[in-house]
Amino acid sequence: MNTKLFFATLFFLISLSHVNAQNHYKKLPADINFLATFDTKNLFQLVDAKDVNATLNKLDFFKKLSDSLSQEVHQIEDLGINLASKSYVFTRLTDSVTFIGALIPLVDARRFQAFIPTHKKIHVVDGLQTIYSVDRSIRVSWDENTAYVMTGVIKDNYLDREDVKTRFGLTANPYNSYYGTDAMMAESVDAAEDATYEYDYADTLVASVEDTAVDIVIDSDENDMVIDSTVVMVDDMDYVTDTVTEIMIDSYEDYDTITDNSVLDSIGYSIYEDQEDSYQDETNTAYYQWLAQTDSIKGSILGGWINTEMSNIISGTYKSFTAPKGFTKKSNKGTVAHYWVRSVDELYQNFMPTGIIEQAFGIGSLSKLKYGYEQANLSLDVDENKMKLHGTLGLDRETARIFKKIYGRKLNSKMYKYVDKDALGFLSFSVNSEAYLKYIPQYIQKYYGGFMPKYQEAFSIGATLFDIVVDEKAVGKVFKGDNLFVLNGVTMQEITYTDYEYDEDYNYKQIEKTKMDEIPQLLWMFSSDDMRLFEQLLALGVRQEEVVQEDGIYKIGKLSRQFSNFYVLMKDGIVFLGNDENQIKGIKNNTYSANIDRASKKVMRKNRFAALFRLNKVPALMEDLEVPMSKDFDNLRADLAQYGDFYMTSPGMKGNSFQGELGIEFPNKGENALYFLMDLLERMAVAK
Amino acid sequence: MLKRIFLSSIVLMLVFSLSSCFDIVEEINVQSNGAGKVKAILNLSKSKTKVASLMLLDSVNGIKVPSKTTIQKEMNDIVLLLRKTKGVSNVNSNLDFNNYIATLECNFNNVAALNAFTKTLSAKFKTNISGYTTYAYDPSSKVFVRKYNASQDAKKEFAKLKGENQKAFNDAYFTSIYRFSDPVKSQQNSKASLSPNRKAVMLRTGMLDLINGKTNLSNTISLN
Repeated sequence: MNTKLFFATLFFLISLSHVNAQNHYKKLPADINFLATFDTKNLFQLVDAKDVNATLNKLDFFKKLSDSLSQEVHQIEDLGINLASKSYVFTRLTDSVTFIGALIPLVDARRFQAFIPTHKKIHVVDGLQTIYSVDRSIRVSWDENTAYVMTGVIKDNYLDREDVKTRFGLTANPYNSYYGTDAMMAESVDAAEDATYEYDYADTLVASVEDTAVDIVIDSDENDMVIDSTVVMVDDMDYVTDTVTEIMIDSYEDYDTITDNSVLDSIGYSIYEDQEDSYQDETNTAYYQWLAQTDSIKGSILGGWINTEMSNIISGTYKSFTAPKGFTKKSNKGTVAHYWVRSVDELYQNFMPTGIIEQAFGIGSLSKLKYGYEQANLSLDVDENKMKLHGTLGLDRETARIFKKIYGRKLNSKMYKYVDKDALGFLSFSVNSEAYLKYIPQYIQKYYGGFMPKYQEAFSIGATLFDIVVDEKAVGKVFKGDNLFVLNGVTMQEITYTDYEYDEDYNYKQIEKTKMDEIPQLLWMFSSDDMRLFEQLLALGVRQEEVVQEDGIYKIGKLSRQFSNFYVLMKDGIVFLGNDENQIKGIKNNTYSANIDRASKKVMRKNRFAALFRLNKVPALMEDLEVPMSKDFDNLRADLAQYGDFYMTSPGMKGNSFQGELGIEFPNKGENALYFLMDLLERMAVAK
Repeated sequence: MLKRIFLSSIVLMLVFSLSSCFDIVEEINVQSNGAGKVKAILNLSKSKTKVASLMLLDSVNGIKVPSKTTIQKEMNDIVLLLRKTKGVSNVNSNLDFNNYIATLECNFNNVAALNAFTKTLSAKFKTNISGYTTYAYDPSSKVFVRKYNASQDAKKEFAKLKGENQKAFNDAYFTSIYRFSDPVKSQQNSKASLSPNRKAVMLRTGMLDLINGKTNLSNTISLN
C-alpha cells in the first residue's frame, strides 16, 4: 500500500471513528488552540454502517484498499476502528512549531495493525507500536484502544533567530552573501562596468538557467535527539548541474556577430561572463549543500519535537484540556462534526506569513494586528434532509460594543409584504448606517493603527476628519441601512431590439422593433427618512430628459439597456427600485399583494443578514427564460426541482458573539441528507 | 462566415447565443475580377434580456458563460488571424454589448482567400468548419459556386436538446446575400431568390432547417 493512500485513509477514518470519548478527550493538551471533533456515534445513528459499506463498495473504495493491503477489507469494521466514539484532530501552537495531532479510537488493534503497509517498519516507542513517515514528519502510534497521529510544521521566524541558529548549528544562506562579500565578484562586476562604459553598449541581458537535480540520502537514528550537522552525508549527494547562459546585446546592428564569443572576448565581455559562470557554479553548489544541511537539521529538530510531543500526550504529562466558557462540548444528536478555535486572531497570526508581509510592505509587527476576534465554534449538523453549518464568533469587549451598535437595526417590517412565497430568492441586509459611519473609522484606527505605528497618527486624523466631514446622522436618515432585494420569477416586459429591413434589391437597413419578452423581475427596497436627495436627483434626471415622471413613479430608461426600464417609487419611508412597471404601480396603489410565507417572514425578522434562494424554482426559471438545456442534465434538473432552500443567515450579535448559519435542504428522498449524498455519490460513480 | 463557426459545435452555439432567438446575416459582394467584401453579423438583440441575465452567471448547464472581456479577446484574435490571412485586407469588427450584435467585415483579393480564412478559423477552433462550406469563383466563366454540407455534429448535438428548447429555435434565422457587379444569369438554389435588378441573390432560412439539413446553402450562380 502506498504511504500516501495509507495516510489519506487514516484521515478518512478519523472522521468515521467512534470510541470511549471521555478517555480520549482527557488526552488532549490543555493549551490546544484548535479542535475538530468528529462524532461518529451521531453519524452512525443517522446512517446505518451497512449502508455506508454498500456505498463505499459501489465506489470501489474497499477494492482499492484491499489491493493495497495484504488482506481483504470488505467493511469499515474490518479496519479496527471503533465506530462508537468520537475522534479528535487538534493543533497546539508554540513559539517554534505548530503541532497537528489526531486521536482515533480503536476497537481491534490487530486489525488496525494489519492495515499498516507491509513495507513499513514497526518500532516500539514509549511502549507503543509506532511507524514513521519517510521524512519522520509524521508519527503514528497505537495501543489497544487508541491510534495517535502527530505531525508538525516548524516556524521559519523561529529558525531565523540568531540564538536558535547558533544552538542548532544553522548557517546563513550562501546566496544572501553572494553579491555583498565576495571580493572577486566585485572585481568582475567592476570589469563588466568598465566594458560597458568603454564600448557604450546598452541593454545587456544575461539570463541563466540552471537545471539542478539533487539526490540526498540521509541516515539518522530515529530516536537521536542530538542535533548534529554531520548527519548530512555530503558524499551521498549527487549533483547534476546544467547551466545554460544566453547573452543578448540589442544595440549592435549585427546581432549574430555579437553573440560570437571571439567578439565578446575582444570587448572584454567574457571576463564578466566567465567569472559569473564560475561564481554561479560555486554558489549553486554551496547553496544546495546549505539547503540539504538545513533541511536535515530542521527534519531532525522537528522529528525530535514530534516524538516528545507524542510521548507527552501518551503518558498524560500535559494538563488535560478543559472546555472554556462558550465551547460547545455536548453536541446535538444531529451534529456530526464540531470545530473550535481558541482565538481567531491568534490563528490568523499563526498562518499569516507575517515576516514576508512585514518586509514587503515595510510595516510594523503584524502580531499587533488584531481584529478583536476571539473564540469560534462551528458545527456541522444533519437535520432530516437539511445540512447546516452554524457557528459563533466571540468578539472582544470593544469590538462587540461596536458590532452591537452597527448591527442594531432590524429590517423595516413594512417590506415583508412585498416578498412572495414563490419568489426565487431574497437578500436582506440591515445595519445602522449612522453607527456604521461613526464607528468604522474608529475600528480601523484601533485595529489597523496598532501594526502600522508610523501611520497611527494618520489613522487618527483620518477618523477625526471623517467624523467632521460626514454628518452621520444626516446620512443615516437618507440611507437608514436596511435593504431588501427580491428576485421574483419572470415578468413580461416590452423590449426593443434591432432587426433588418430589406428593399427589393436586398439592401438592408437596421430598424428598431419592440416585442414582449420575459425577464427576471427584480425589486430593491431600502428605508429612508429623508428622501429629498433622491427627489432632487430624479428631478434633475427629468430636466435632462433621462427620467420620465408619471403619477409619482419615475421611469429610468437608460439605467440598463439590457434589462429595459427601471422604475422608482418613494412611499411609506421606503424607496422602491424595480424593473416591473405593473408591480411598482401595484405597490403605489396598494393593489400589489404578495403572498408571503411564514418561514420567509421569520427569516427576515430574525436576522440582520439573510440570503435565501429557492433551488427548486431554478428549473422552471430556466424554462421560462428559454435557456437551451441538454437532456444530459435531466437528472440534475430533476434533482434541483426537489431541493429546498439554500440559505445564509446571521442574526447579528448575541451577547459578545457574532452568530451565523449556512444551510441547504436536499431532496427529501431518503431518510436524511446523508442518505441523499451517498445516493448522489453512487450516481456520480455510475455516470463516470 | 460566423455561421460556420456557429454550426461547428453546439457548445459554441450555446456559448455564443445562450439563447435561441437570433439572426445571422452573411453578405458577400463579388466584383467581376473575383475580389470583394464580406460582412457577417450575429444579432442577439431579440434575446438581449436573456443574454444579459445569463452573462451575470458564471456557467449554464456546466458550460462557462464567456465574459465581455473574453468575447472581446476572441474577436480580437479572429481579427488578428484575418489580418494575417493572405489576400484579406481592411478587417473591421464591432461588438455592441448594449444590443449584443457582433459584426465582422473584410475585403478579399479573390474568393479563394475566403476559403483560406475558413481553414485558419478551423485550426483556431479545432473544428472542421472548412469541411462544411467552400467558395469558388471563375472570372473567365463568371460562375460563383458555394458548396455546403450540413454539419452532422451540430445536428447530433442539437438532437440532445429537449423538445421545447428545439422549438424555441423557430425564431432564429440565417440570411445570406450575394451581390455582384455583373447581372446574374441564373442561380440554382430553389430557396434563394434573385433581386429584380438581377444583381443580388438572397436566401433566408430558419436555423432549424439549416441544422436539420432541410435547407442547403449550396448554390451555383452564373453571371452575364
